[in-house]
Amino acid sequence: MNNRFKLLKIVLTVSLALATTFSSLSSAMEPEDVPGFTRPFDVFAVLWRGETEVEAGFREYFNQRGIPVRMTVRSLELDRGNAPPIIEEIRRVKPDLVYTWGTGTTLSILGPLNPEEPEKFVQDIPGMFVLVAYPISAKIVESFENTGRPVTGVSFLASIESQLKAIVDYGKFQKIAVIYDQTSSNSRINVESLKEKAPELGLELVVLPVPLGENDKPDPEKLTELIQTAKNEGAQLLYMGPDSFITRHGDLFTSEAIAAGLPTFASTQAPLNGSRAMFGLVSDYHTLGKLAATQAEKILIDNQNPQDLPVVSLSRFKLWINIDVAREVTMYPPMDMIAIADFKTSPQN
Amino acid sequence: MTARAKASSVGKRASQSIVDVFRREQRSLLIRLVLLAVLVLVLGQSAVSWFALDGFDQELEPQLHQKATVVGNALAEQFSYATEELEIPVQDLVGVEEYFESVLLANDDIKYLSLIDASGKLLFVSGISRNEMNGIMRAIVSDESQADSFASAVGDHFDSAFEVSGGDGGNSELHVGVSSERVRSHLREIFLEVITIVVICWLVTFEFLLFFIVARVEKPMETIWRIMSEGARGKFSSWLPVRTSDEIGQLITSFNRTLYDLRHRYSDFVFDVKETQDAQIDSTISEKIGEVHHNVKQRFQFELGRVVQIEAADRIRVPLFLFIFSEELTRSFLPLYVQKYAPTDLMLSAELLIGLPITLFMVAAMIATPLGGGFVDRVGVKKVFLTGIVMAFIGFVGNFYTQGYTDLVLFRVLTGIGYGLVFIASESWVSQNARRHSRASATGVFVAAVFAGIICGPPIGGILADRFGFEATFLFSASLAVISGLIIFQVFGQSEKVEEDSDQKQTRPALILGFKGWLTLMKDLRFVSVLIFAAIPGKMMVAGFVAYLVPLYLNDLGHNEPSIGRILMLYGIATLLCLTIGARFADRTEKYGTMVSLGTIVAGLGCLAALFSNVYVDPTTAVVLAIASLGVGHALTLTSQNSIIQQVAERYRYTLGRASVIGAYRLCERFGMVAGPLIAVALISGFGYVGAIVGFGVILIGLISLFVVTNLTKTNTPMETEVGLANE
Repeated sequence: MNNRFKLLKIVLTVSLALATTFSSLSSAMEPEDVPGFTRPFDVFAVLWRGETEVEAGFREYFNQRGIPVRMTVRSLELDRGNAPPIIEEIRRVKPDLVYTWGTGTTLSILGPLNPEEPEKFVQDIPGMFVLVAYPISAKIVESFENTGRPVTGVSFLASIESQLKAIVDYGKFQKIAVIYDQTSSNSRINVESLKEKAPELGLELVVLPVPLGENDKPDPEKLTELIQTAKNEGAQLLYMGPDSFITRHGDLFTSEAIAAGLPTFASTQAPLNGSRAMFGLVSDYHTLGKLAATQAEKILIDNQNPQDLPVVSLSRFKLWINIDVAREVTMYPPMDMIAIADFKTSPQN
Repeated sequence: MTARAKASSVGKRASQSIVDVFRREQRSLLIRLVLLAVLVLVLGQSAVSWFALDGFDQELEPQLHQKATVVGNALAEQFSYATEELEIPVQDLVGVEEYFESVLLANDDIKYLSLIDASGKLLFVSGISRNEMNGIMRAIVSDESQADSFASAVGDHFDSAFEVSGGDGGNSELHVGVSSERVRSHLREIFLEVITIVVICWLVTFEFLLFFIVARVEKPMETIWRIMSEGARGKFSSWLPVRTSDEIGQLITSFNRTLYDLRHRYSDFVFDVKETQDAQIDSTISEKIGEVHHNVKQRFQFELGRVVQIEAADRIRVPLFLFIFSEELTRSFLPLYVQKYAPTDLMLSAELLIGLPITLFMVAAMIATPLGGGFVDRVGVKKVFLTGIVMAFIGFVGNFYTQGYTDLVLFRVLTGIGYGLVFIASESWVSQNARRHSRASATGVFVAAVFAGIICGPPIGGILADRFGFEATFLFSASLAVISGLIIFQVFGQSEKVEEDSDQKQTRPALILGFKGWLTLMKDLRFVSVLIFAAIPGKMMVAGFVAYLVPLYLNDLGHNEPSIGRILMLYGIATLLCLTIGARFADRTEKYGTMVSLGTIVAGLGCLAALFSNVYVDPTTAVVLAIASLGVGHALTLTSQNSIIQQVAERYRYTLGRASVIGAYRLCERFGMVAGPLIAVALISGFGYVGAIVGFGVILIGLISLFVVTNLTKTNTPMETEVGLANE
């Protein structure tokens, strides 16, 4: 018995010694850092207001594939002023990929295309953005096909045509109104597209910019009044674009709309999740995260330059309907929509 | 025999063709047996089919109910979700009828969908009017007997109800109506298929039974009868070869032995007479005996004479039938099959690419025919027939394995060559083996075998293609070709030397005729007018209309392959049924030109019926009309065309040779087969399908008008055949 243990001990010791020698040898021959081999891939995520389903989908994709990825997560907590220390940290950690959530975060961390002061942003590490509504007009990339910098991303908005198509399919709407923040380039671009496409689907469009208050910022006090104006002009539906001002005042906006008997259509998830928009055509965040992960996979594993990767978008979008709102404004979805839509109830219920 | 009678008797040859088969029945016990066998088969099959169809009827209805159940449950669940989960009041549901419409569109078995609330009020209905639905509801409610079954039969519908669990308003009901008309049309389809197969079974049974009985029983007995009537005239010089060991074979053996014994006894007798004669001293007695001996020799002929061959023309019947059958199997779907492989990136139109293999097949067959005739003279029928079978077999198998358009065409051409060879080999066999007096019935054998194939092939091929796919059907064709080859191998086991009859060499017209001969024929107005105005257009219709346009058009109209095959079968059936009438009429009146015109006009008018497609008749009926009148028209003209050509041939029999003229005519008329698909391509690209059918009708009627005009101008010298034969 004893002898046997001794023997085992010797064998173990010898093999251990051999293993250490070989591993030190191999590490001496190879470059010391092989991401995905000697260590997990480092992804540094900077978010706007904490983790969402997008990150869950992103992680799930890598887990399912057995690709080791270490996520470092930081949040700007809705304030772009929090960016500089995070940029410092990124420079120190030197991750394999920087992941940014939203237009504001992306502009604060990765900066715009050809910035005046490039030293203020992370420029030398591959970057990827999610949840940027209009990356071209926000001057993050040159075009979807050719980003013009080592940054790529995923687009999350359904095309204006499919959004309007969903509106027409839901009910016999003839006139819709859009209330928007005229200081935001995102919103202005969105409104321009609406003006172009709405007549093609036989929709009349009422355009109502939110008047500016002090500091040249849109005045939330005016929203109730604007909704009433929309109602008086004969609009049958309010359209909510990827507008952070309106989204921020989503609760007020949607409640006032319901009070005026107007349903709201949302092109992003937030007004459906947090506020009481009646329906919307949006990306499923979880799936969107997986799509982002396929982009990241190409950068991390295939060593592709993000510059060569076009900005991609989902081919299928989710039709979300808040049935409580539909009931309040007595505007039930048609049967064929019931068959395909996802339903939710108001947060209050 | 006057020249006119002679001409009409040759004319009758073809006319007796099919008729002959049926006429024989009047005198033959054996044919009656065949008919009895077929009759028993008919009754048996009818009974079995009847029960089978009844079975289908019982099977199909539950299947449709099942369909209603699947759709109904899915929809009811959807509605329950809307009313219960989403709490939408059932009467407030939006877009229900549009939703129903989309479901109806995807399920054409379902006639209507409706939603009825808890109080029995009709909320939404699609597929039928509100009034109709209310009527159905009343019928269901009043029909107490069906109260507890979830499905009720109301008029032409089966109504199934499904519960939709609602909120406060109580449960509503979803009604799914399956039209029993759909069930009926399914059943009709199956019924037609069964009928087709039954009819074809009769035909095939009849073919095979007749083949065996004629070859093994009737012909040997006929020969014995002939030798015995020779015996009645004192001729005992023939004997029969024995081929089989069956009853007939034993009869022949003992018959031969009787002849042999008689011959021996006679020679003994002659020997005795000679001896007695030689022993006489008295020359008058010796002369007397010599006189008696001479008289006996006059009355009886016992010299070991010729071997009498049993007529063998009929033996080609089944192999030829099987071979034609194998090619006709592809008839109903060939253009569709080609369409599947036709390249789309070429400059050529799709129609042309589909027509090309059909045309090239005809060209190959056309070239192979005269060449094959030459081979037959050199190596014999059997080898040429078998070569043809092998080529066709390779072609069929090649088409099964087709990878692309080019090899598809190549293998089709190979089959075409094989087809030409088999055709000419059979034709030669019939003309070589038929005795002069029975040549007409032998030709009948040939025509009957071909038409049996033309009738059976398309519908069976259609069903096979529908069940197993186009490619696999080629394998069936290949196996039929193999069976045909095996029978030839068996039947032609003993190589039979056939005495060469110079008159029979109708197989090498192009080689014999020479330039001068052709020139003479081309100057003959009667020859040329029949050829160009009747014969070529006739063949054009077979290749361009029946083989090319109809399958494509019917497919376009939404018919499946079995249905296309059935419609194509009408051509063969119409021809077969009317051939007798046409032949009798032509023989009685001897107005061959009139018959040719009449037949072609019938065919042409049938095509013109397409003008009223979608107006007075539906498009399918128009095609059926055109096909059937084409069959009738061909039946009316075929005999008369033959008679006219026989008359022309008779006229040139000393200058060009009768057979050469007929051969030249057969060669030329096949140009119609080559041109047919190409004309169809041009017409379809120019005017569409309906326009093309009308176009064919216009061509037929236009050409036949020219025929009438040219022949009217000729009526001044009506009996030109007599003029031609005057110096006889």
